[in-house]
Amino acid sequence: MKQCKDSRRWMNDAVDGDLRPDLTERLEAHLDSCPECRRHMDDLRSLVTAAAGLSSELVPSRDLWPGIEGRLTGVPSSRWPVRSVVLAVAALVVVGFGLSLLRAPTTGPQLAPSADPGIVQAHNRTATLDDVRLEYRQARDELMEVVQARSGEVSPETLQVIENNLALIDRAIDEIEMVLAASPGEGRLDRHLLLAYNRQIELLRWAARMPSRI
Amino acid sequence: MVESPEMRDAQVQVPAGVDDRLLVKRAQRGDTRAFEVLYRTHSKRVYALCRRLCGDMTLAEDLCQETFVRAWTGLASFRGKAAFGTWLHRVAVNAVLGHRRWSDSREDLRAEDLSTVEPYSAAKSETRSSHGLDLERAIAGLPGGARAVFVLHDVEGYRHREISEMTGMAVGTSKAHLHRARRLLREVLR
Repeated sequence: MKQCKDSRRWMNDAVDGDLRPDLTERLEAHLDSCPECRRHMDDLRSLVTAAAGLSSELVPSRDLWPGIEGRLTGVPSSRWPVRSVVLAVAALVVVGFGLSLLRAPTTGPQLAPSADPGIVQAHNRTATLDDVRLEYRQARDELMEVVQARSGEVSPETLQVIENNLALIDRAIDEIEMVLAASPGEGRLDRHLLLAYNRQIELLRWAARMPSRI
Repeated sequence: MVESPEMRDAQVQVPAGVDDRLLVKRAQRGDTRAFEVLYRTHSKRVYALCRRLCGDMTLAEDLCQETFVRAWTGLASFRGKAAFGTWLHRVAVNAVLGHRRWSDSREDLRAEDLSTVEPYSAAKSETRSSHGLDLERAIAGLPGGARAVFVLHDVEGYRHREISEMTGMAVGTSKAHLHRARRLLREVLR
C-alpha cells in the first residue's frame, strides 16, 4: 500500500524531528489507522530511546594511562612544578607590597560582612579549605559588583592597575590550586592559597572604598 | 588477586573541585600530572565512544590511548572555546575514523554473529539491563559505516551535518547509513 510505503519512508525523519509539519500530520493520520505501521513506529522510537539511554561511560579492561604516559615525549616530566609556585608566590608578594603603599581610604561604600579580609584568620582555625574557598569567592563577587558599579568614578589608569593586579592574583591562585590538586593537604600551599585570596579581597576592598577620580 | 577494572579505577584519585580549565592550562605547559587527571576524568567516555565506533575491545583500547596522545600533542591548539570534553570527543572521533581498521574490521560481520562480540564492562554495571547489553552487542555487529553513524547520531547526539563534517560523507549518505543501522538493529533485537 502506497500510504504504508510513504509512512515508512518518513518515520526516521519524524523520530529525529526533521519531518515537515504537513508530512508529520499525514504520517500521524496514517498511524492512527494502520496498526502495522504504528508498531513499526513504536519499535523505532524504542530503539532510538534505548540508544540515547546507553551509559556514556565504559571501563577499559586495563589501565591505559601507563601506555599513554610512555608516549608523551618531549615534555618536562617533573612531578612538582616548583617554578610555577615560586612565581605565583612572588606575584603575591609584589601585589602585597604595592597594596601596602596605598593609603587605605576612610570613606566609601559599605561592604558586605563576608567581604572582610579578616576571614583568613577566622577560617584557618575552624573551616575546611573548601569552605574558605567558597566564602572568598562569594566575597570577591560582592566586591567586584561594588567596584564595577564605581568604574565610572575612577580614572582609566587606576582601573588598569586594579585589573592588572587582579589578573596577577588570579594566575597565582590558578597555579596554587593546580599544585594543591596534585598534592592535597600540603599545608604550606594552603597558606599560600589563603594569602592569594586575601590579597585579592584586600585589593578589591581598597578599590571599592577609594575616593572618586584617583 | 586479580583486580576488576572497577576496583583498579576506584584506586585512582581525581581531585574534587578542580575544573578542566585549570588542568588544561597546566598540561599546556607540559605538566603530565595535570594531563593524567584529565585522562582519569574523561577516559571512560572516550573509551565508550571508541569501543562503540570500532566495535572491538582491543582496538578500542589502542584508539583510546591514541586519542589521548593526539590530545596531548594538539593541546596547544585548544583555546577553550568549547569544553575540553567536547574537544576531546572530536579528537577521539578523528582518531577512530582515521584508523584504517575501524571500518574494515567488522564490515563483514553479520547481525547473527553477535555471540562472538566481546562482553562490555560498563561504568555502572548494576544499572545496565540485559536489553542494554543486547543493544551494545547488536551495535558492535553492524557494518562499519552504519555503526559509526548510528553511534554518532543516536548514542552521542551529533547531527547529520556535524557527522558529515567529521567523516567527509554527504549528509544524505549519513542519513542512509543511519536508516540502515536502525533497520538492522530492529531486525536483530525483535
